[in-house]
Amino acid sequence: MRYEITVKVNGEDYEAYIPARRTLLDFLRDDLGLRGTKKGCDEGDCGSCVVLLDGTPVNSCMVLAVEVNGREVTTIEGLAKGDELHLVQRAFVEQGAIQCGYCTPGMVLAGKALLDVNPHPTTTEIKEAISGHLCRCTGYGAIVEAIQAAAESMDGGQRASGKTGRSD
Amino acid sequence: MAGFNIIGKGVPLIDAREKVTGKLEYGTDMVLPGMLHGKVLRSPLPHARVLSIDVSKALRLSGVRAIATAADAPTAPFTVPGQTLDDELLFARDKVRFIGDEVAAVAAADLDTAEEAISLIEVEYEPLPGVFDPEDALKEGAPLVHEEHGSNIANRQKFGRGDFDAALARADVVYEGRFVTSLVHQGYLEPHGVVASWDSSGRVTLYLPIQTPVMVRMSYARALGISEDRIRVIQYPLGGGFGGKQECKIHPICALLAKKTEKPVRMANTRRDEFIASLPRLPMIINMKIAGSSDGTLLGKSIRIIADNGAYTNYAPAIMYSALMRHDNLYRIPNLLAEGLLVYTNKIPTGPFRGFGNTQAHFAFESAIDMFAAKIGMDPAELRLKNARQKGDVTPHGWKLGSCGLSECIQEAMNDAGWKEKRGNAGTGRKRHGIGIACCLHVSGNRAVMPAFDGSSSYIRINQAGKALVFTSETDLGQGARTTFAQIAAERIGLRVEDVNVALVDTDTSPHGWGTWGDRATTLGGNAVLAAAEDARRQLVEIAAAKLEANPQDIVGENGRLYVAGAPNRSIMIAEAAKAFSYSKSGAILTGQGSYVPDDIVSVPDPVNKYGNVSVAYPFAAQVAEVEVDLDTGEVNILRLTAVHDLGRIINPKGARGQVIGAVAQGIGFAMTEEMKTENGKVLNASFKRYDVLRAPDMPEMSVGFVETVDPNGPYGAKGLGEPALNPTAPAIANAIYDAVGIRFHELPITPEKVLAALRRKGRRTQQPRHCRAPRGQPLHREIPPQQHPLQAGRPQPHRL
Amino acid sequence: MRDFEYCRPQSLKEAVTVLAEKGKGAYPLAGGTDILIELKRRRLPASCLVDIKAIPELRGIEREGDALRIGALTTHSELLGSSLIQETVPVIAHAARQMAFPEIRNRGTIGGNICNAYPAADLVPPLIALGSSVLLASASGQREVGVAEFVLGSRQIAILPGEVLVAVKVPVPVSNAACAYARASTRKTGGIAATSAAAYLSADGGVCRQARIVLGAIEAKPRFVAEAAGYLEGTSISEDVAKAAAKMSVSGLSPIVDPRLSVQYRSYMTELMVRQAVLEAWAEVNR
Ligand SMILES: Cc1cc2nc3c(=O)[nH]c(=O)nc-3n(C[C@H](O)[C@H](O)[C@H](O)COP(=O)(O)OP(=O)(O)OC[C@H]3O[C@@H](n4cnc5c(N)ncnc54)[C@H](O)[C@@H]3O)c2cc1C
Repeated sequence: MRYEITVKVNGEDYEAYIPARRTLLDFLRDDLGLRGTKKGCDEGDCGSCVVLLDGTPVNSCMVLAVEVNGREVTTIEGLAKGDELHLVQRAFVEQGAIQCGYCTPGMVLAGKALLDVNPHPTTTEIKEAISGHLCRCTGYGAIVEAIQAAAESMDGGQRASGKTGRSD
Repeated sequence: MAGFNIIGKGVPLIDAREKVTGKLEYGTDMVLPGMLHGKVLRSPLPHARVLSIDVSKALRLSGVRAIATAADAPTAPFTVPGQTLDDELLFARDKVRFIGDEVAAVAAADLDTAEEAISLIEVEYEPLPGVFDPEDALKEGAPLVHEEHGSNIANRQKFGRGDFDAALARADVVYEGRFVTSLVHQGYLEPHGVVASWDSSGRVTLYLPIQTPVMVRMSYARALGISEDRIRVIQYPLGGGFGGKQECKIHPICALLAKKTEKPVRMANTRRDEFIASLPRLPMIINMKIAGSSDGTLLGKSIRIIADNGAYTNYAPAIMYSALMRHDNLYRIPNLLAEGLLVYTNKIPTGPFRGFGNTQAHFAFESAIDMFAAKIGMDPAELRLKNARQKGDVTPHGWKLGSCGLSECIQEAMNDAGWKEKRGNAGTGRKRHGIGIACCLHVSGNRAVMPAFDGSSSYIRINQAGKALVFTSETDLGQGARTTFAQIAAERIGLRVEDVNVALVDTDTSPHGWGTWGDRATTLGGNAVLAAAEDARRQLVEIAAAKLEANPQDIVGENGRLYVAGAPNRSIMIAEAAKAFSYSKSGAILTGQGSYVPDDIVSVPDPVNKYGNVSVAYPFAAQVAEVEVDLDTGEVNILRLTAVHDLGRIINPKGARGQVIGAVAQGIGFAMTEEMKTENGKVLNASFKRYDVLRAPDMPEMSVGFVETVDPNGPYGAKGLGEPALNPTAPAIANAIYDAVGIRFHELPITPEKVLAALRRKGRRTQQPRHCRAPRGQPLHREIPPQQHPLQAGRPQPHRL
Repeated sequence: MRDFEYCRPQSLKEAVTVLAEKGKGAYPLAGGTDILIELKRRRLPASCLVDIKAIPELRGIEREGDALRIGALTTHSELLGSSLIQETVPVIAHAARQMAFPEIRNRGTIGGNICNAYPAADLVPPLIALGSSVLLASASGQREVGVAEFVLGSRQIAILPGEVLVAVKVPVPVSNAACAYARASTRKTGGIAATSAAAYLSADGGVCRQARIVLGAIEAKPRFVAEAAGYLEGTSISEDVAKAAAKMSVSGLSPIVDPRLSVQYRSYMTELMVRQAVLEAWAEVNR
């Protein structure tokens, strides 16, 4: 059965007529052509497909597209402003947090979502925040460092008092 | 790094920006207009005769475009390049040999329809008794996986050096142990995928996330019964490979469906497909015997491997060969004996996984070395230092070590980890502390796998804007090969890294080379890129010298500019020189060509005795693991891991560090948590929910160090790194556990369950001194490997979690 | 996935009407973290998913007298972020934290966790130990059933056709009572429980008055271990007492098969989990 939905993806409104069984992941990739969101397991185990649903990270393979009718989705394509990378993206590039890059979109979004609610996470909190994301290349070290670096760069000098986030 | 502008700098991956913005199209992102979607019907039985296949119901389903079975595929069996045992077909004909064996495939308008059609195909099977254990498969009367082969032994190898029996007779002490490694999956995050499309001239283009575009073209041509030139492989970026993306049956099957439907077809594995029908690591049962003197001189070593091939043969004979002898080149051991049996079972076929057999063998060998040290009462690190190979050595297998930093790696790892203070300090409480070391060596390219030739070729085009495009056949699997090549080319030519791009492989335009495996990319591919860069530079310098009225020898390249040494303002932009070149030749693009042909260095090993220098350079490493063992739960907590690697020369420190930490994560998984559990050939944990890959919170504290030995044959002295980093991790952990609780674990993974069972057995046994010196005159001191405890207690119900 | 219908009722009344209308093939859809996997694996004959997430009656965490009313749609993230739960039944937050990963916890709900009746469901043992019940609504009215009676076995619940789980009622432990939960898995992070135990204890003058121990994951259905609980009652709980109770808890178990681990090991770990839960609850009681 097909249904009409309206969703805002990366700030743009989309209307679609789609079968109920289409996951948000397949909808983004196949209907909208936003293939930056990756399919790694299709069962919620790997985090490659994570997007932000009204700002909250969710596995898009575990959500039906019809469920997001009227809501707002942010994918990796919606993070940079033109040529300007989001600070988390920039930190991933600079810290060597990327190898094959397949986990990167999900990792970056998880990192962003974490910093949105917790601007000064400890390394334990960062690891917890990305615990639903598998990375088979990096061993996570550089990814954790990148999220930490992004948190520090978000302080943007305002926190020159030397307070650079909680440590463990 | 003194003297270099770009080599040794932690530049970001050249495709980092595309990756971090989600713009990079991976193989499974590939879309062609009007394409169909394919899906494979896999055997639900491990061993059965196929009596009939009825596709009529499925064909009637609206949206189904074609169904292919063995009837549509060539009847001649094939195998991968460089191997000789042709035992694969595109679809099971007459018989299925494992759960997951390809029986049929559907192309349909969408994936849901293809899935539905698969469920409507009716196959009548006659179940046959299966064989699931390689040792059972060797027994008289065992069911034969391939009757026409006459036995379940797919491959047998036996060779030796010196006189192992004489070494045994002379030895003061002999350690013998039986080690078992498990079935583990590469776990690359992007599943296998393919888009296939035929053109009107009868050529098929395969868009593949693949490590080995040229090699798969060879095997897929055989699989499809067409000539190689009728296949064009366009490589797409890979979401990880780790050896697992050198071959996949769905690629040629997809070509077959595309042919039948005359439409482009796309296929991708589900994660479940990956776990039941890809090519995980070849599991091995390894008998290892080490003979030596009580002063720590190693006299001999023998190894006997029974390897569980699974139902079909991929690269397993070459993997077993690596496992049989590669580690012999780590220490000075003169007398060697190796025997290996590769055995068919009704299980998932196996193949390459980072380490290529070396990982399995290193677990056994480096555990055995530790046990030998314990027997003679010697510090295991000291034993290793005493016997460590040195630069310039020619090993009994004929390997020539042009560089070797093994001793330095051991020393540095010991210092970094605080070896001397921490060793033998288990403590007394519920948690026991231990530290362990293990070493490894690896290759940088392996002539044994592809005897046709070794080395690599490249060409570099520099356009009128001074932008270089590097062509190579050695692929980037995410390890950063493209960035490494860009750095090498930029350094040599004098460009900025951002001015260099590296093309993905297209068999129509790229050099013909073997692709990425065996740590070939940096060393062989890098040398080829260096040669091509040199050629391009020569041409640029000629132009610059003429313009600047200087001697070509005095021209220096840097930052996109060529200048006269000592007079930096006498300069010309590379773009300008390249443009001048082009305009003087009616638009030709300046092209540097280069080949790296290491024929005078490496040799194809003798087919029988396997003697020969298979690689141009050999990387070494030492890792130290520090663990804490919980006596109550059997849990092993890895507190810290030190990894020190001799990689010749660091091209990119960030990349190198990332390679090591990533490999260690896989090594810890191999050691502690990862295992595809099977029961009567069925994989019981075919998902990441139950196949335990390490996650971020599971990683220990890491310390990574490098020893730069500057190999004479590597580009700028660089050797391989990606694979070796995985090899020492499991034995280092096993050795640390031994230090903590005095128990030797012979079987991977070392789960809390196994640790607890062993602790209990040990508690029941009378305590024995840990580091006992074997008295002279009682040489043969065998260790009997513990049997696994029976699992049948309680009343298990036929229900799965 | 097979084709199915989808609807999103805006009220409880509408939902139970739709469920009654659609009949056997209709399933409520909450967070979807279980049901979508069942559908993808083609194991569930669903012809209609009734998305219950727009129903206001199924939301919220409120104190109602000496119990908490937790709306069925409360996600695991909400459970572990709620200060009310932290203050009154912290064990629920603790159990929620053991589950999966942040993204799954952002979607998965308490109602789904119970209705899914997965043997390893993490919220179920502590809910049972606390003496919780579920509020169910259907076209023909409402009823309340103890969680212990509601969960019948692996993927089996005592739900009637057309019923929706509206909320979970959790009695708030009195000041001298506490509940603790411990679980073991094959990996440190996000693994499905291989065995688990919840212990509820109340005390009076340093002596345990009431004890309830519930095992999860080890059998098809959560198991009350009355003998061990009885043993604890009337004692002052020490390490040795907890150990003895733990030992009793695992006699006569009928473990289900977990391909990852042997029955022996899981039984042993069950014992450890009981010991840990009992000692933690006792420490909490005596704080
Ligand atoms: C990667 C991953 C890891 C997981 N790890 C864990 C874990 O560690 N521990 C654990 O316990 N679980 C785990 N789960 C399972 C799952 O997330 C939880 O059980 C979750 O609580 C289910 O809630 P839901 O809202 O997503 O349920 P849904 O999938 O929406 O529904 C599940 C079932 O309950 C029914 N249902 C749901 N709500 C109601 C209602 N209000 N009334 C009537 N019927 C209803 C549905 O019809 C369906 O049959 C995991 C799942 C995934 C994907």
